[in-house]
Amino acid sequence: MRITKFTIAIIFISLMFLVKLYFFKLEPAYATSVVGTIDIISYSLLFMGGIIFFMFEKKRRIVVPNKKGKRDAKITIFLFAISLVVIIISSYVNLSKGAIEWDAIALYDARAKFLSQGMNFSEMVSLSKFDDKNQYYYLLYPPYTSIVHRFWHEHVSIAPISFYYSLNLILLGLGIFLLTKERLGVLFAALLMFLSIANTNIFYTSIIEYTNLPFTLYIIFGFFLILHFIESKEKWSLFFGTVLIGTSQFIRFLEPIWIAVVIAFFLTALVKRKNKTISLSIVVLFVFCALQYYSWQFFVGSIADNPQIFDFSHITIIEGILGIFTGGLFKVTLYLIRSWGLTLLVYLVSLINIGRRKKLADIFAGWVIIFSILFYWGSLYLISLEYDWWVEMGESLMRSSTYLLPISAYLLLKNVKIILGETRTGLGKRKIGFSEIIKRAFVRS
Amino acid sequence: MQNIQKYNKTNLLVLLKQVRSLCYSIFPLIWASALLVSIGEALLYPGVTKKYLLINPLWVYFILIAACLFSKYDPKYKKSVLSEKLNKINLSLAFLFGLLYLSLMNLEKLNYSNFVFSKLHVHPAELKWPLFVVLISYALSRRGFHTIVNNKNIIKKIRPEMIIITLALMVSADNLIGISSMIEKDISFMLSNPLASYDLKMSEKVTPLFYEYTSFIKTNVPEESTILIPPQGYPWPQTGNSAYLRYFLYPRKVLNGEEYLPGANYTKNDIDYVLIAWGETIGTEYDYTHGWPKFDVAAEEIIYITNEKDKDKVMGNYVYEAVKDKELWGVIKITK
Repeated sequence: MRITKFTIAIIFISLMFLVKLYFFKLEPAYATSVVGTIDIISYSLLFMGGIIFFMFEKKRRIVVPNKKGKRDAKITIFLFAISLVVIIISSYVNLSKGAIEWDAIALYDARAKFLSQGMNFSEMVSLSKFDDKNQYYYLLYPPYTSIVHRFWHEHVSIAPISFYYSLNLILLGLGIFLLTKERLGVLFAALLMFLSIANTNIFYTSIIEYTNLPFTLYIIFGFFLILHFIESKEKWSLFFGTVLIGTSQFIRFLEPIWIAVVIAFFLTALVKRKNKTISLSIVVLFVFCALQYYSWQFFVGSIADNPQIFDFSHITIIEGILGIFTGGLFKVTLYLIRSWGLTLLVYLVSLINIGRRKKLADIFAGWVIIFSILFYWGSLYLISLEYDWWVEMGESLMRSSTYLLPISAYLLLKNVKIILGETRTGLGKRKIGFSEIIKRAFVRS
Repeated sequence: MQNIQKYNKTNLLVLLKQVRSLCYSIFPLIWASALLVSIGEALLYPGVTKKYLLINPLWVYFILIAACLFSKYDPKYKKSVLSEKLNKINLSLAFLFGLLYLSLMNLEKLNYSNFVFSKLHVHPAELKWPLFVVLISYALSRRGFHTIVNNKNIIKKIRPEMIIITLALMVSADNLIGISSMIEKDISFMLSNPLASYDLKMSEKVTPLFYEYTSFIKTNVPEESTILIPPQGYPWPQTGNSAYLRYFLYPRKVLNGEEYLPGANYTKNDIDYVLIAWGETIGTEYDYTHGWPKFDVAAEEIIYITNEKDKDKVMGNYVYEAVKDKELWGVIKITK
């Protein structure tokens, strides 16, 4: 299991490393700057450090409670089968459709086209020089997706770029299963995998060529690796989790999810603040993520001289406070509830009982959900004060927050395991399979 | 002074206790009202409460939440049989409304907008409010979720496995139906055209009109040219979107004009061509109307998209008044 987690992490960290190296090659001004140098050195240190710790660190055994009852293979196989159906549908759509979606045409794939014709990112700013409405457009999103598109077009001729997103879906499903199998058990890990990849919003991101699915992937894997660190204290998982969370900003930059993770980790670690390892780990996570944030900001602002999409000042804060009394905050809250719909209910239900949980890992997950919701709420509110098109962000909000669903479902399933664990105790000491529980649930005794 | 503060504090506490007691006494009435309002909005139409009772239903739900919070701290609440019965009713109704909501929403997705209302006179999306009422009443009661975990008798009676399994099946069905309706249009094209070329697929995705127009531009406008395009907005969501259009025309440069003026200096911006675009959509925004450019252009030649071979190239200037209200597509080569 440890090797599986390590392998998954290495694949994504290596891929991001290669993308970053290519970006450095394209932008020598950034690569030779102090910020660029620190960026690549910090990345390399965490990368190598993770590998070294994995090889030489003593393996810690995680005690998984509620591991009662025999594994119900039939239901697990069924869940894998319907997950496979979902993946086949996604793959078929992506292999057959050929054409790409709006934002991929306008931005992600367009940049790939420009790259293949010799233009670099800092030069793309000039393309929208006379576009009063969208001057910031070409550097609104970081380069990861476009670089991947570029290399896919050049080196993978057997399948269109859309299929890359089906691969992301497969990796998301497999990764969620393998990373949670230890804690949830095989059956519940398979259920979590199915609920995640079959979720309408996550599935939708697998048939559009946008940044959302790769972003979700990096955040989810980073989250579970940090979770593993909290439980096992294995430093390699902290390092790799930090890299994945921090470098997710190289895929999408507008949503500061890394801040939610850092604050959640800080609050969780406060419980064990006297432990030096934990205290240092907060520093590692915060410093690396902040570096990644500042690196891209530096490139966009100083190297490429690209205008910002959002321009907040201290007046925005004053307007924000006044907006609470004029009903602006309520309007945004209602809009958020409508946009998220039942999914918000899932997020909130997963937080039930969070105050009574004893495991630090569960508390960390709860804080991540809470702060993510707060960030979306706060950011949307601030944007609503400055821009009248804020109401059009509903779909984008749904797509960018899909990482919350596997995390919430993970917490929910852990709660369910607790309930079912007590039920089994109530029914007697005999080990009972899940099929027997289903039968008993629907048949009156 | 201290005595006055103590007196005020005591008065406040007494007042709060009275409010708490009142909330507890009339809680079933508040709960029933909130439920009736929410069901009324779903069965009649959203806004019926505001129209006839002049009350925004959100205020009713807000009062319910406040009543839940106040009444649960009343000492009579803990021992109350009514509150226990209400909780069971809430849980059962949550199950019923949840099932109805998901089933009817999916039925709507599988057919068309307003299908459920036309057959059953129910607004499926509004069923979330009765669901919200029963769930929030249950969640805010003292006997909440952790009671299920702690009380084995309740576990045996209400069978949480049944609820959990049913919920999991409902969520799964909802997701699978959501996926099918999402890909329905794409799938039907793919299955009908398994060997479709890239051009046919792209044409289907961006509309044949727009794709044909960009192919026309690529044929008639050299790669090193700069083209003036319509302003961004309907009826030119694609031809007026410089980033979107650039994908098809790159390395040609594109520059947005204005509706009644070029908006750019032809010489200074080195503009070589101006698009003639009627508009891809019927809808418009920002008071734009169909047809562009709505200004005269000194032209070397004008190339139209037309089925008539000898009429596709026209020499001479583009005069807007002469072609006003004609649905034309083409490109103008500017006189330099």
